[in-house]
Amino acid sequence: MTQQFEIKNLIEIRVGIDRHNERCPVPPEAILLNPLDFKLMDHPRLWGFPVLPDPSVPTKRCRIQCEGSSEEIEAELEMYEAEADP
Amino acid sequence: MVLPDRELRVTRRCFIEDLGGKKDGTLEDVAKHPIVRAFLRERETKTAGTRQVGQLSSGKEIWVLTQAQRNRGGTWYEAQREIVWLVAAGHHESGSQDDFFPYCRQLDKDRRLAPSTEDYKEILLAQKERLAARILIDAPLLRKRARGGDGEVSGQIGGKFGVKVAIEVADEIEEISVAFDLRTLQDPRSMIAILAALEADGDWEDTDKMPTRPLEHYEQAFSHMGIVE
Repeated sequence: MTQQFEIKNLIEIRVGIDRHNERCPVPPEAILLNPLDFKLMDHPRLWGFPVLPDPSVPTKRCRIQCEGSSEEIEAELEMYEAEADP
Repeated sequence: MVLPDRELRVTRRCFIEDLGGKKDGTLEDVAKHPIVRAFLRERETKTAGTRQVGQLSSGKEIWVLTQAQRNRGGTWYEAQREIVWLVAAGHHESGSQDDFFPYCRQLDKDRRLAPSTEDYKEILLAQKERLAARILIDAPLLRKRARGGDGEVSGQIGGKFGVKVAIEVADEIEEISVAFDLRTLQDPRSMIAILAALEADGDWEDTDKMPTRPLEHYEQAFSHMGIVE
């Protein structure tokens, strides 16, 4: 994974957390990534939150898990669409 | 708008009075204005044009932007800050009362052509926001390097703060140690922001050493213990 690609993904994940925090009063418990992205990113923790693989999360997306999570308030957002350079 | 080599900015006065932007608007609101388009296109590569607005009482070098027959803009390159400012926009019609060139001279005479205190306050705010955003991205990258590396890794966070990070793992306990180079970082708020970007609710404690060495006289260090995920 190129660092530029990684930086763009980190930005998208951070935006997801900030959006979650704007909408939900319950702090995030974890950042969920598709197992492929989880392996590619290789960050077990980000900003104090555990990053966990979850096959139910589509690739190139992340989901912010919190105790107050429901389908409506879960923040799911598209990660950077471009493919990583080999 | 931030470009690799320099920043392009529009003064608030020009944005509101010349381009018709709203007080709380952004450059995107007026992006289709012909002079804004010329500004972004022309000043991306060059800080100056071929012709200046003459007879300015301030003596500032205001370079003329030309778009189509009548649209004109004035730009000023502030070398110290590496910023090209769009300071005025208007129409050129010789002899007309609102011709761009006498308009610029009048603004200059009234001291309203150059960027104002408000413009500089906005720069400071934007710089702070950019720094905070960079810290949030640089910190996890440095942490990842430390996790993958053997021993201590050093890097820059926020483009200027010298930081060294070491991670030790034993029996599912991970200790992360961070040493700040105080020659590059004096504001304790930056230290707090960096530690929070590494471990937001971490229980960071002062430490007088890094895992494999004592601190240098110009360093301050903190450590945090957590469970390996």
